[in-house]
Amino acid sequence: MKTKSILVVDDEIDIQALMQCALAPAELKIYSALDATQATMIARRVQPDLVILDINMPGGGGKLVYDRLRKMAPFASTPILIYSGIGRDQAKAQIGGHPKTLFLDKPARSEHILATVECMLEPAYS
Amino acid sequence: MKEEFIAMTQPTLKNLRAIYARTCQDRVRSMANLLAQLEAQPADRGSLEVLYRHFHGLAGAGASFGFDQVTELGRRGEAGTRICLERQRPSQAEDRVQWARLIEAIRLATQPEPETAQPPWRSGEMPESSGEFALLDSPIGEFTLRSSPIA
Repeated sequence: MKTKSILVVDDEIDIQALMQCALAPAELKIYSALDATQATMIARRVQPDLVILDINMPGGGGKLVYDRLRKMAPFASTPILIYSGIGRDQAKAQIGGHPKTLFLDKPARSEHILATVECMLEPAYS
Repeated sequence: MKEEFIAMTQPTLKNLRAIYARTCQDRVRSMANLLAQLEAQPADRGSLEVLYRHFHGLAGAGASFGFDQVTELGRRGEAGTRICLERQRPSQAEDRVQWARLIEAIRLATQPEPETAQPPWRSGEMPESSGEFALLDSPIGEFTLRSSPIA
């Protein structure tokens, strides 16, 4: 069976490390992007099964990445987890609703992150 | 510290927590320098933005590593710096005193465990360098902001 892959988009190296650790039990291929440019480039190349995306990043931020991805055909229905510290309501107001988009508030416990990601990678969801 | 993260292929939460604490100590030093910059130039927007990003980063990650207090302190600093940025006003002396208190509290909250105690700064850095801020307890328990090295 093909190993599933995810792309973590966050400018905080601490969060990138946390994701590597939290998601290790799921045996995923994890790609990291630290800004909007890297995110779009890596997403195009690897076409991840799921994207974890921060909103408040320097230089355009997660909203820009989200809009770009959703406009690209392969990502129109890719699950995207918005993992942000700005608060769920504000994040939802910025991003808008989408059946394949979920919101998780920072900071979350590693087991909560893992459970959310596993759920979003289930065939029934994705 | 970044290199340590990158080199770790299968990190455990326990050793990640220790590394995170060390990165916080690095951040605290950077934040103290930014505060010194703001003391000299209260309207320096660049320093204020970077300080905001540090507080934001601490707020967003601390509790994930078991440092709930860091998240709380980071949130307070994030809110304070964001107000200055959004209102486009220079930082006030009372803002900077408050931020210095928060930074010091974050430093204390992420100090290495006693059994593996190491100085929170390397020799020749923070306490001795001029222009750094240090918070010292006064006899009545209030914090005093000093711009001179710790004696």
